Amino acid sequence: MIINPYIFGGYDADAQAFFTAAGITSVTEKNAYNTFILGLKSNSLYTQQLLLPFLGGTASTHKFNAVNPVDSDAAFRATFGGGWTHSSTGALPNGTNAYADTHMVPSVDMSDSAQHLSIYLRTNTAGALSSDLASYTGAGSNIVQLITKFTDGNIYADMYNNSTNRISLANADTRGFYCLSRESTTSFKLYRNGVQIGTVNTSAVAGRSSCTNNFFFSARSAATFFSNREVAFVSAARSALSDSQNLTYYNLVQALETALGRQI
Amino acid sequence: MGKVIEITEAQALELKGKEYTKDMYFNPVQDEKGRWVISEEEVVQYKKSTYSFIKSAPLREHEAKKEEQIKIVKG
Repeated sequence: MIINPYIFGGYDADAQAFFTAAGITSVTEKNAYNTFILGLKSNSLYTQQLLLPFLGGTASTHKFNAVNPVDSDAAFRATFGGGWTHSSTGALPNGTNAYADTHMVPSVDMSDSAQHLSIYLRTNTAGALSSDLASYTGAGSNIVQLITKFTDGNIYADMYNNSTNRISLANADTRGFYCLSRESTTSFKLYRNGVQIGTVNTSAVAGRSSCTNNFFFSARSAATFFSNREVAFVSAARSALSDSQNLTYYNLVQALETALGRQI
Repeated sequence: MGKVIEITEAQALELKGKEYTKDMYFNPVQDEKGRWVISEEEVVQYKKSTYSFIKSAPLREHEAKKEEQIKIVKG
């Protein structure tokens, strides 16, 4: 006989706190997320500052940072501006004026030597002036950024300095799970679906302290680089991920998305 | 590119940051020609009457800003 271990309320305490705060009621979503959290913990990957799993299908549920599910900017809840469509598959920005502000600030909340940022995108789009992750001050080379397909067809990934620490390569399909990983002050890597696709090895330490604008997804700011790629997962953590940990992280996220029926 | 309605600068200032539906906020932006616009999604999902002027404006295709942003991304 197969017994559902969650029937009697046996969810992980951190998962349950998120369900309660966000008002998540779907048993399918609860079981999927609980399995995901247990997987993170058993692999020593539960280190996130920010974790947006996009459960519940509305802005009011998608906004919660699942690792600190307090309805406040200080807890890094997402604020959705402009035109969004929220559903069970994630949050779809309109590419016209939609942005999401996480209220994280790289100069304060991120690390020079151990940091990763991730996003799961469900839409394949043509190249455009659109950013998927960003903290941009508007001047100079200091920037945190992921553009999965610019007008020239390339990915642009920057973490703290786009002059010395840029990863750029052609991208045929914008869908998938992207992870920007800073493993040291001189090592920055970009992964897609758990596989490393780019790396640079020069120092960018001086740049982070100048990244004083909030960390956004689906736009560079409230005013520029609006994306139309649907988002199903976002995370940030002050921890480095090795190649094998990146693959494990991808496998856990992909299992979550598969359990939710929205995997790419 | 999506559809938008054009609004005045004063209306843009009035709408900026106001909630148009639960936990989503108006974000007026300027288009390629400097006109203030909001998106079709904001107009459709707004169900209250305070900003009823957005319901009477015609929808048209958005013309996004381009040139200055290209220079920015290349660093």
